[in-house]
Formats: sequence, C-alpha cells, structure tokens
Amino acid sequence: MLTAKRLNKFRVTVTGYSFVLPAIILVSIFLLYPIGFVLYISFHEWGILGKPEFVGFDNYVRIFKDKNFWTALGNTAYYLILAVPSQIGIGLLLAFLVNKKNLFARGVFRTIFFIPMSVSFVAAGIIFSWILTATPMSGFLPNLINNLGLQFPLWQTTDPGWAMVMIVLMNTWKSAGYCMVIYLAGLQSINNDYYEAAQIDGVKNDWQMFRFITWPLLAPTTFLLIVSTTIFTVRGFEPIFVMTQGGPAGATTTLVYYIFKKFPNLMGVSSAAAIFLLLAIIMLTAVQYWGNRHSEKYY
Amino acid sequence: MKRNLWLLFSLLMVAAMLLAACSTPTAQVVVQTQIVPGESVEVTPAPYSGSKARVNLWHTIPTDTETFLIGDLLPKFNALHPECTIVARNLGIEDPAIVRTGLALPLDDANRPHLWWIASSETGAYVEADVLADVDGWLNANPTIKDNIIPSLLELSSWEGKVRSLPWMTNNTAMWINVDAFEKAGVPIPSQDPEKTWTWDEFADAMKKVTDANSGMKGFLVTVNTGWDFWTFHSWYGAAGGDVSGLAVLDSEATFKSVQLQKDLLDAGYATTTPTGWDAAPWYAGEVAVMANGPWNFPKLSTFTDFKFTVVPYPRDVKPAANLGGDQLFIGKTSTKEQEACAFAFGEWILTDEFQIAFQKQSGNLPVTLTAAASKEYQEHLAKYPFMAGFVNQTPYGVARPPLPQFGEISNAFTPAWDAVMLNDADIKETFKALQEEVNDILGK
Repeated sequence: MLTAKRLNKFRVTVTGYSFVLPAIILVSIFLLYPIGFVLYISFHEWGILGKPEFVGFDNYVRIFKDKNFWTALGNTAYYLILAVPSQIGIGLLLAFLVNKKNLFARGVFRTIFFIPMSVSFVAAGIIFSWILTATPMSGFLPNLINNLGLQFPLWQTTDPGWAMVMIVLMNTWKSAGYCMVIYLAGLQSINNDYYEAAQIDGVKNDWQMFRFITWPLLAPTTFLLIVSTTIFTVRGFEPIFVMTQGGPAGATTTLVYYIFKKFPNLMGVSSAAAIFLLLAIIMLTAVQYWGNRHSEKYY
Repeated sequence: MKRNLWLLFSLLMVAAMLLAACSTPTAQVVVQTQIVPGESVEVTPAPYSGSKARVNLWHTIPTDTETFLIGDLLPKFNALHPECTIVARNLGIEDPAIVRTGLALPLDDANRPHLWWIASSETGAYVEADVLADVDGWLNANPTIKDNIIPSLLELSSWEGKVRSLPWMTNNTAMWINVDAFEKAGVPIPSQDPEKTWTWDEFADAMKKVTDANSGMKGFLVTVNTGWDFWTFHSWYGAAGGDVSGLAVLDSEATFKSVQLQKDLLDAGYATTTPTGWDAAPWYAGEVAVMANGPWNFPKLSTFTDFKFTVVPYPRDVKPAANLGGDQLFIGKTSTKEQEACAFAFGEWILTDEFQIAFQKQSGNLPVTLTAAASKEYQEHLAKYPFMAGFVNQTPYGVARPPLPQFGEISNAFTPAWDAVMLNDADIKETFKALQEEVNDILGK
C-alpha cells in the first residue's frame, strides 16, 4: 500500500536516478554498448562485410593456441614492468624537485616538465624515432654514444630486446609529467605538523623523513598512480605503432597491437583478444585493490 | 521548488538527448566538388543535385597527384559526362577497414563508396561479400578495352576466373643503383633489360666490391619488420623459379634460396637492415649503394642530383622476375542504373590513353594499357628520364600478390618469420617450413 513515506522514498529515488540518468545514457552508449558488441562479435566470424557467423568459442581457442598471442602477452608484461615504475619513479623525483620552496623559477620548471603531456603520442613517437634511430642511419643519440666509443644498440633490427626500452623511454618522457602533477598535489597535502613531529621524535635526515613520513603518507597517491598508469600502459598503442610497428621480430607486439593486426580480416579473433585484455585489466586492478586492502589511513 | 526545477532540467536534458539520437542523420561526409582548374579544393558537403547521378570515389592518391586529378583531369570527365557527379574523398591512409566500413552501409546510402582505389589484395574479400559490380561482364562486352589492358594486370585484377576490378596504375620495385659508388668499385652497371641484367652471383659480387670500395657505405638494404618484406620477397622468389601460379610456396627451394641470398649478404657485412623498407632516405644519404624501391618516388628522383644513379631490374636467377603492385579501381554495386552507368563511364575513362599518360607522368607510376605504354608521348617521357626503363621493362615479368581474402593475415605471419631469420639467425628451412604450416592453417588446409 502506498503510504506517504513510501511515496516520498520513491520520489527521492526517482530524483536521484534522474540526476544520474544522462551519465548512465552516455556510459551505456559509449562504453557498455561497444563492450557488448565486441563480446558478441568475439563469438562470431566477421570481416565487417556480410553477416557475422556464429562460431562459439572457436575464436578463444584460436588465440590460446596462437604462439603470437602468448608472445604479445609476455611483451605486454615486459612493457608494464619497465614503464610503470619508471613513470612513477621519475614523476616522484620531479615532484620533489619542483616542490622545493627555494627552487628558482619553480613555476617555470613545473610547466616545462608538464609540457610533454600536451604533445601527442604520435608526434612524440616520430621525434623519438628520429632521435634514437640506429640503422641504417644514426640519429642524434646513437651518434653521440658511438662517438664516445660505445655501441648504441641496434634496437630496430638486431637488438630487439632494446626496442621496448626505447618505447618506454619515449613513454616515460611523455607521461612522467602527469605523475609529477599528481604527486605534487599529494606532497602539498601533507601537513607540516608531521614533519615537525618527526623532527622532535629524532628523525635525522631527509632520507629518514622520506622513508617514515613522506612515502607512507603518499601511499594513496602512489596507489592511484599505479592503477592508472597500469591501465594506460596496457592500453598503449600509438608508441608501438609509430616507433616499431610491433617489431623487430615481434619484440614490441603487445596485446593491443596483436588485436590491431588481426583487424579487420579476423574481427572475431581480435574481439576475443580484446575481451581477454579487458578481463586481464579488470583482474589486475582487482589484485591491486586486494593488495591495498590493509592500507592504513593516516589522516 | 529548487529540487523540482533540477528534476525538470534533468528530464529536459534526457529528452533532448533522446530526440537527438532518434533524428535522421544527415550526410556529413567531407567531399570535394567538381573543381574548376585554378580554384582551390572545396572540402564542404556538397548539396545533392537531383538531376545528376552522384558517384562517390574513395581513394588515397598522394596529394600532388590528387590535386592534378581533381584540378586538371576530372573536369575533362565532367565535360564528357555532364549527367555524372564524381564526389572524391581522400581517406588519408590505404586502410582496407575504412573501405569495408563504407561498404557495410546500405546500398542506397548517400555516403557509400561506389568507386574506390585500393590494392588488388582485397578482391577476395569483396567477392565473398558480393559488393562488386559485374566488371567481367562489362569488359567482355567491350573487348577493345579489355584487349588493351596489359595481360599480367588483367590477371592481377581477377579472382576465381573473372576480372573483378580495373587496373588504375601499376608499379613494381626495382634496384636503385648509386652509379658513383659502382664506378668507384669498378663494378659495371647492369643492363636495364631483365633478360640480360645481372645474375644473383653478379649481384652478390657487386655488393661485396661496392661495400669494400666505399667507406661507410653498405652494398644493399635489406628490409625487415613490415609487410613490405613479403611484397619484395616475391621478386626474389619468382627469379629463383618459384611457383607463381598462386600463393608463394614458403617451404620450397626457391623460398630458401631467396632468403639465404639476403641473409648471406647481411652476415658478410655487405648489407644492412631497415625497418622502413619504403623509405629511400638511406639511399639518398649514401648509406647504401643499392635499394629496392618504386617509381612513385618519381617527383623526387627526377630532380635528384647528389650523385649519378640509375634503376635496373632485380637480378635474375632461373628467370627474371619483379613484384607487381599498383592500385585498382573497384566498381561497387549501386542502387540506381544511372549511378552504375556513371561508375562504368569513369572506369572506361581512366583506361583511355589521355588519362593514363597524364596521370602516370604526374604520379610516376606505370600505365596499365598497351597503347598508353607504347604511345609516342609516354615514350618521350621515358626517354627524358632513362632510369624509368628499369621499372617499365620489368612489368611483363611481374609476380602479383594473389587477391586471397586471407592475404593480409598471411603477410602478417610472414614478417615475424622473415625477421627471425634476418635478425635472430633462426634456421631458414625450419622457420619457413613452420611458416608454411601456419599459412596452411590460415587457409584451412
């Protein structure tokens, strides 16, 4: 029976949902529908032309039997291991540097370190390709290294293990500014009372201050950056497409690039790989949250 | 009261979005209208004129040639066929997915392509999807036009025994020679006649001598890491006597021999690798004496003076061979007879001598018809640029990529195998036998 109380609760509920309805519609159209469509196509064989043909789990079986898929998975893990710590580490270092109150032209340096974020990945990839190209023509850095009597790795051809390093170099240059800005906000939100209290308690130097005060208090910021940079890195496509096109010898073919290579002739297979990637990212994020479950809230 | 206003506002926003989503989409394609010579290219949607048949042409013609096509050549077609409006759209990059997306539109959609320029390797996919007009029937009804097309290009345009598209331009890659480097090494310049040009042994010897005599320069540029490898591979495979009646047999002696030749040059230090085989910069810069590249570089090559150069055919082994390429004009099914008539009229026009000679002289690619290739005007053009003979003379020995629907996937499988041998010293026979098994899986054998 509709009492006044129930009617009021209903009205409040409808009001709440009507506020979020525009966002739900947009998310449905631009996120849920495409994911649903990819899931649907992953069970079909389709090349854009003609009607999709249902093939059940064949596409999933195919990717699990494909050695290139496992190579791409390995390359993705390698890319993550190199890219995430370097972006976060350098971002933290830059944040410390530009957070110093006595730094001359602090604002200018903050801007300079953040500018790479405004450059597109494609432009950055092309520039870094020119700078780092080692064969058959030598770019700026290989020339410099070779003139010092050292051998710059031929990352585009015979030293494929270095190819991912070069991509990470470009990626870090471009993305460290983002980490710097987030860490800067985190550093500036730390109450000075903690540092004063630590000094009273006997903390002697900057390293101890960082280890016992700053780093623990930056834990939420660090967690946010780990989750976000992991997701951005796994999704990364432009650096690989522009700099190496998945080579040499498949050394930089990540899962995203594998999906791209299967498109459009094998949309079912690339959709199956895309669903796998989605589930992998969700699982990785869930693991990260699970690992953070015992984190202390210091303030 | 305030809460009710917010509720009303939210409901109005939702209603507005729903209305926008349900409205009829208008054509927002970027088009280029008919251009009068001298005018800049329009890039705003053109209103459809009910009295003319509108035919959409999708292409990826490079900018300079596109400007020439739109500004100089299309007006001539428009004058001949005032009942037609050709609406050209440059796709930017030659990506089959873009064309397929357009072909997935309904037949009567104003934005669907009716004509498109793309390589022949997509033919199988189009035939499977039944999106092509009956080009074979049209050519059989016009034997004069059909007989004038270079025979090897008719084969390139065919799939399952029928001609499926019209060749627009053709090309191949040939050996660009740094003549100064060859002269310094005392190596004679090979003949531009494919039947008399250098052999594989002479080629390998030349690379050794040129590398030894020119400090800081390698003999040959071996391409890795891209689909370019598979295309240029066909020249060596064909020359080694490989079966070119269909897809290359990747576990054959011809394949092993072709791969071994370039691997030996790399191992001996007479060659170097590049991940961008189409980029002629290393050759222009004098880093390599010989590279394989195509005639579409004509605009730069025709004015290059840093050193003496020429272009010669691929070295011959069992026989001469070269990789045949180019772009086709595909004619798609249309929703009206008028559009179909205009589409075929355009196809007929691009096969005229007037069009072929003008377009190919501008673009640097090669004519697709016998009369255009033999014409006085084109022969004078070749005489003015003698290096072009290296490309032209190879055309009759061209090895085409079969237009299988799975060709793209096979090319993607080839590259890692090629790279494994060239870069990681993998065993040639083992690697390519495994590759052939992979290709058989792809083909469902």
